Amino acid sequence: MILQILAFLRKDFLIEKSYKLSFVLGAASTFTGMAVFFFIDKLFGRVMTPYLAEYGTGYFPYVFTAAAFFGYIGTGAGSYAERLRAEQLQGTLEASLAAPVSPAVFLTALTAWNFIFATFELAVYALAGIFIFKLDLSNANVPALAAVFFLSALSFASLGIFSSCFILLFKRGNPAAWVLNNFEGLLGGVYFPVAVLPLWLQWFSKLLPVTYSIRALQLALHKGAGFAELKVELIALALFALTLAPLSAAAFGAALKKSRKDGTLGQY
Amino acid sequence: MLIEAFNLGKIYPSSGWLSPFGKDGSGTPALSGVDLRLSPGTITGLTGPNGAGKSTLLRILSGRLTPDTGTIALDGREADDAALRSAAALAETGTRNFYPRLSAVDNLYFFGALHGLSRAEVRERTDTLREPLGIGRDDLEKRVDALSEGAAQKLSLARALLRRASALLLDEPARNLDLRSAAGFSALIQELAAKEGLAVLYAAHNPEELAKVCRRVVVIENGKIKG
Repeated sequence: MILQILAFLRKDFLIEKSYKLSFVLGAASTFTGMAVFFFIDKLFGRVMTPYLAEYGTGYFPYVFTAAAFFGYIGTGAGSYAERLRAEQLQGTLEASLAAPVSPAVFLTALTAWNFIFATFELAVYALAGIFIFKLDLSNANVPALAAVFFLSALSFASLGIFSSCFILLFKRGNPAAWVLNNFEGLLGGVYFPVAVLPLWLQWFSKLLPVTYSIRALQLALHKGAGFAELKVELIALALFALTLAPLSAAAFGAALKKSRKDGTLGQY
Repeated sequence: MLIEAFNLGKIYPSSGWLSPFGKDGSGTPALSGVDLRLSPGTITGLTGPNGAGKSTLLRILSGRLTPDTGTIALDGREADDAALRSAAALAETGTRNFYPRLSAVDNLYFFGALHGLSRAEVRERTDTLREPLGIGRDDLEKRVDALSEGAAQKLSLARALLRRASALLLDEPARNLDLRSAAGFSALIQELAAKEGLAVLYAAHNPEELAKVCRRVVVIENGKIKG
């Protein structure tokens, strides 16, 4: 199992290395994206202040940390479908799955590189936040943050696995990714607090795990909230994770079985 | 390892938009009532016109495709797809199932590792296969998207032979090979069948090619074994 995961990691590292400009441009666009929020904060930051009072922070620290966090957990949501699609297009999906690799190991190995890369990006974000944008993260409650990260990553990875089932069965056209891409950022409080939304949309946002993730992150990071204060959010995230993880694993197994039955694993 | 297939049947679902749910028409018949026996140490030929069902049969025997009807037994015990994938190696034609931006040898390391082989084992096995397959040292270092069709075909054969499977399933293995490489490959699989007891199913259109290497040749037409 370890040998198989390491083989995927090495392969993905070599492929990433073969695209020489990709990493540099990716890092540059992250930085410019943050700079945009920095100047939006200068212009309109005060308008947001009343909505951010409960988090004890300003607009820029809020959006910076939420976007960095969303980028990380978004890796879980997006990378399964993205990587599976890449394997389909290269014709290597069926060849890889012809080896004695269990679906669980395959899914872990498939996205291991993305998670490592996303962790590295998150570290760059944190360093840039502290040293360039002078964010004050001294109140952060690290154990609570670790729990939020773990439960959020598990929930989003499960959503990502659901999303990859559509890729296995339909190749293109992925409604799960469409919902994740279009609604999570808008309704989950990533770019502005959910309190800004009309009441009926706020109700809808409560159905999304990202809403609880972002709220818990902000409270733990800026106000130092611990497990007791984050009880509601952590329970909600745990329920999402415990429900979605086994369901998504079963759905992927069923989609794989169906693809093998229909002979479509090698199609794209 | 003895491989026996009984009454294999396969109908591909139609490609309508509801087909992923299995609700879209009757589909395309590909195999029907196929019985086949592959004995250890023997090379069995498989021939038939285009669309006869050769590749479907190979894919089912390799565990990549689940049949609609029938069973497959390994040494007398019924086997599922996963057991077949462990027991049989399939060599297909072309480069479309390799990572194009990796070198040939890095592709072999990757697929070898998926089968539990270390880099040293892959290197050692590749060294023994390189000469009979006619793989140049420089070809191993080239990226797959820079390989000729012939070199890619040799790489596909090397990948299938890398892991010492009990059965070898070959789909047009000599396609794109020059005469010398084709002869080297024929000699190699005859040697592997004799020495390692490999059960080989060799699918090809060319009767002369099959006559050179196969003890018996099975003909398939419209998804059914003839004779």
